[in-house]
Amino acid sequence: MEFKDYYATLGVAKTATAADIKRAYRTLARKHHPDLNKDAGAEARFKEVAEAYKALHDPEKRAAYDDINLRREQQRQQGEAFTPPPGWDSGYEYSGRGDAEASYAHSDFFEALFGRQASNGAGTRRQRSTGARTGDDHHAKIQIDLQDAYFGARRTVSLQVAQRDADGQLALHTRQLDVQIAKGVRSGQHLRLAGQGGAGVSDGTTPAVNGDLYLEIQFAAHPHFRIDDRDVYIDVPIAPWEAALGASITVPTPAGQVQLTVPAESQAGRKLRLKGKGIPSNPPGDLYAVLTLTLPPADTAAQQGAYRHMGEVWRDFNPRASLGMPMTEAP
Amino acid sequence: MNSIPVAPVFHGILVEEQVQFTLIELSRACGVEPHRLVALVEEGVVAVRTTVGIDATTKAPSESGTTMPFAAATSAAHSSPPARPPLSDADTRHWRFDGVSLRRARTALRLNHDLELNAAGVALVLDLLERIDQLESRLRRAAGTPR
Repeated sequence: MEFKDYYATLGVAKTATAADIKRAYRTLARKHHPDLNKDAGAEARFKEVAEAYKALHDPEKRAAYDDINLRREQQRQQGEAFTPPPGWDSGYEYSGRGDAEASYAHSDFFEALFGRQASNGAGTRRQRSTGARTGDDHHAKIQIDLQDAYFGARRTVSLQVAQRDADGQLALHTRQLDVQIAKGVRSGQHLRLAGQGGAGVSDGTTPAVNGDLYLEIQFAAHPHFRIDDRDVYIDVPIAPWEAALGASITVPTPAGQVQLTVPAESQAGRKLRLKGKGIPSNPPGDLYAVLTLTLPPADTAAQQGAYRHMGEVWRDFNPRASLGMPMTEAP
Repeated sequence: MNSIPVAPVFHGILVEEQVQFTLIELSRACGVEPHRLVALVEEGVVAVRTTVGIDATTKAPSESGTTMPFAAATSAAHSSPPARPPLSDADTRHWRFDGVSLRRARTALRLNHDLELNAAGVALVLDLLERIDQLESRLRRAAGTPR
């Protein structure tokens, strides 16, 4: 088991006051919270920070952690590897994962130290010891490709669920679920799978009602396509003569290649709309080809000659007229 | 005979387009007590889309399909004597939320818990996040945007 240095995670000294710890947590949480920071590593970083805060801001937990930390340092001085004290992983109690406030699973280290109950929002959800109870709703994220939104896709989702085994102990099991994703879905939308959430409890007369499972759809980043709700954008580089004279060009779309007519005298930044070629929702989105100009290289004498010739033909052309700058003499 | 069980394929319902939540359903989906969502409605973080059947016997068809701010929802409930205290179960039972409320409510609850923000702070952050979304969307529509 990997030892977690919670003080280092929060960037505070072991002697830090409760106020120091709170300030460090708040600062780091604002910086890395996945709702505020869309960077790839932000969520993982926030989870570490949240776990460290959870361990250190509660005086009892902090004292327990400091004890372990001291023991570890003594072991290290004696050249031993860190081993958890006996009895660490006993007394687990699992209190469900439906709580949005406890949507972050904690590390094995945290759960071994404080128990799994502590890592969930214990006390924030209804605790009914008797009678029927509908199971908790569960949430998971599912990543799909943009193409999947065009054609639909089947995905296997792996879910961690708590199940009570024969001797009444709760243990985590992995459950797999095949999900058909209808075409037209967009990033940020949710699929609800009725009855696939947490198990309900029966009171003996009525059957148990399970919670629902919510799957949040996320698109994997694509190297060419940008997605704006149901519209899709792609930058299409064209050569100067294609822009000036017009051209019929081939461009990729998530649904395959299409022919596109570039009108003559197109400037860079011009958007050409392919109506209905965006994400096939109802109504379908559009696909926009955004033209960018790519200059061919001037490596050979002939290529340099061609550019020079252009300069001679457009002797009166002032590219910086809009800046109020005068014409410059050709070299 | 060894038969391999064929795993069922689940299709699911698209929440944003096909689901309307009651307060209880949205609370369950968010994993919180209903009063937490009532507080978010009061702060204008989550909007009640409509109220249905103000009385158990009366339907309110004219209100369906319109966004109904919280104030309107309660004043409608108050218009029928005897006046009820605001936010009684009798009032909130008629609330309906759009599917998009799920995402907004869950984000609000996360911000509230993780950043220890109060409802007003959460409301401000959500508005600013929406503004950032709009600006990023404008960027995506422009040419040569770094990905």
